[in-house]
Amino acid sequence: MNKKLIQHCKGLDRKAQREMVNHLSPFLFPICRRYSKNFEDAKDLLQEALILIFNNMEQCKTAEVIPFKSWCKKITINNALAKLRKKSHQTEAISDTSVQPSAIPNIYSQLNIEDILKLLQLIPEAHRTVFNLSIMDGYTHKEIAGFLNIKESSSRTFLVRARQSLQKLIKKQGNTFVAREEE
Amino acid sequence: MENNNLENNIRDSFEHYLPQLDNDEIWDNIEPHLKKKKKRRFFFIWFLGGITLLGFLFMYFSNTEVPPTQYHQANNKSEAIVSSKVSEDPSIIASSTDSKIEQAIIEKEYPTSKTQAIIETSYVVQKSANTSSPLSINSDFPTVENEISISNDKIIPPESMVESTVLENEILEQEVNVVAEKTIKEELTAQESIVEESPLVVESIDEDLEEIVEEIKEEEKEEKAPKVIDPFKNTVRWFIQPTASAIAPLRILNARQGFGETNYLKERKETERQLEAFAFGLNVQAQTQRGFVMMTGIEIQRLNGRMDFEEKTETQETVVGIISTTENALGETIRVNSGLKERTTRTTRAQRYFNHHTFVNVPIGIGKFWHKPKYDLRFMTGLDINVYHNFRGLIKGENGDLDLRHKESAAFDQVFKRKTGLGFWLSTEFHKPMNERFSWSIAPKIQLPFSKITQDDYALRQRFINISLTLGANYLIQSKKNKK
Repeated sequence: MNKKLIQHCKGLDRKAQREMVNHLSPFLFPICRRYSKNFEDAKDLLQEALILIFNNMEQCKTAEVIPFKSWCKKITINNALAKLRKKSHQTEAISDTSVQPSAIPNIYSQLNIEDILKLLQLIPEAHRTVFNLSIMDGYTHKEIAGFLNIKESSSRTFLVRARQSLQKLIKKQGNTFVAREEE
Repeated sequence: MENNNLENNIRDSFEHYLPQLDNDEIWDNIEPHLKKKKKRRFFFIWFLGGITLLGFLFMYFSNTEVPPTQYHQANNKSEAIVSSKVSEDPSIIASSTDSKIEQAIIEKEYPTSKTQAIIETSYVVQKSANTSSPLSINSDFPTVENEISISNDKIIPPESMVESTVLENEILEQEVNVVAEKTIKEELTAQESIVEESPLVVESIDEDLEEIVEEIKEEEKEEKAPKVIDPFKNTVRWFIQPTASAIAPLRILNARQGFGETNYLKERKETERQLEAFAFGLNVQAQTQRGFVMMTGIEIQRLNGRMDFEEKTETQETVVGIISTTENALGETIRVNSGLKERTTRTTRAQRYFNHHTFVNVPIGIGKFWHKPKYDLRFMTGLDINVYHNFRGLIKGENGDLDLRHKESAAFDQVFKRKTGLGFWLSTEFHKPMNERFSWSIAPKIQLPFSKITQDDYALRQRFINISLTLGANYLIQSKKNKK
């Protein structure tokens, strides 16, 4: 990706947009994956994010690569959050469901990305979202509160609970990832 | 510590996460939803302009004939030449050879009536000198009687002249010698002597000839300019054209790009109506010999609109009234509690305001002119350059209040442009000539603005497409050349 490619994309050049998909997909897909339940949902999120990015590129004032990537990331996260909000309206409030030990992945040998994703899926959605926004994407609690329309204190609480849930899940397996890391 | 390790590990895992994605499939899914590249805004305009220009060029090269002098109406008092050159040499006598005589006659195409009379007389003279020729019996040959009967107002068609010349040439082939390089008078004198000998001569011509010759000489000395205006003699004819137009304005009001149908837009559409418009203009048109027309001028447009505004007021007051009543089992009121209570009055007052837009445009156009037997037709197209825009009136603001906007107010610049830019126009003018100089015109016209009249960052975009009917009076300005 370079400045020229970004400018071509702003000019709605189809070839440049196609090229940009190759650059943006590996960068944005992990973000989508974190905010979605499964691979297919993540793919849908990615496609929606790409459409939003390409159709609103004139609003991105910079053509520099790093700010552009940040802008794309922000759009992707915003889109994911909008989806979650929409979903929360359609479904009942997320309850603090207990962890299903049977669904715990085997993390004795190595905690790979799929295991992490599965672990993340096991914690409540609100907790997971706050965890993603705070730990993975680096937003402050004030910003998260704004995004999710919750109180700052709630955001902090959700993060603490998310951490506890993750640790609990790992410990329940008997051989925690944390312990392995310390060794 | 545990938390940090866990989080760092998760971050690292995601950083090195390389998903197996089919980018082609993703692209195929998203491509139909992507915005298409905007066609250039002016493409259509340039296309239209190009087509128009090509049309004109085609007409220019396909119609090289000079239009006939249909504007000319023969003036009985005038003996001016309409569209031909009067030979400076009035002598009709050439050298002694026949061919020279023929040449001299051909050079005198389109003679005036009096000149014609002399030329025709000379035919007779020539003919009479050849009465011995068997060809002279030819009945087609113009006789003296025929020539005298020619009206002074008529123009001899060149075809008959050529025909006569050919016949004359045939006659003169019988070795007729004519004295060369004589003046008209001398020639006529010579002719008289011949005429006397000729059996075809009519005596009455002799007296007339001298008078005619004298008159012609006087005229040539004076070199009077023709009194009849010849529209096609000068290369460009200038018209001045005051106009008045009735306009049906079509208001285009929409939200800024990407904002969709906003509530504010809906409110404005519901409350505002564009009523009518009118315009006055003064144009100068230049019409070339080939029928091309160029014009410029100034036009003042006034667009009037109406706005219905509902003013809602709410007043609260404390009044004395019944607060509660107590009824018995039979429904009879047994006790009434009265006291102070709050009363709210809501009033809705419908108000009507009239808004006015004023535009001053400078139209520049080109066109083509066609002359028809009963009317003239001009097809014109060009650009309107807006040099001034003003708005007086009230519009409903985004906050629901009424705002006063006019040129002098600071708020004006937040909403409207002071100069709205360029516009395209197209019209077809029907001209009804009343006399040589004056004609009435009626012209349906459409005006399409290129740009909006509102500011770029204003919430709404507004423009007017005008369909109008223009009445005009056209006056042909006499050129300096003719005045001299």
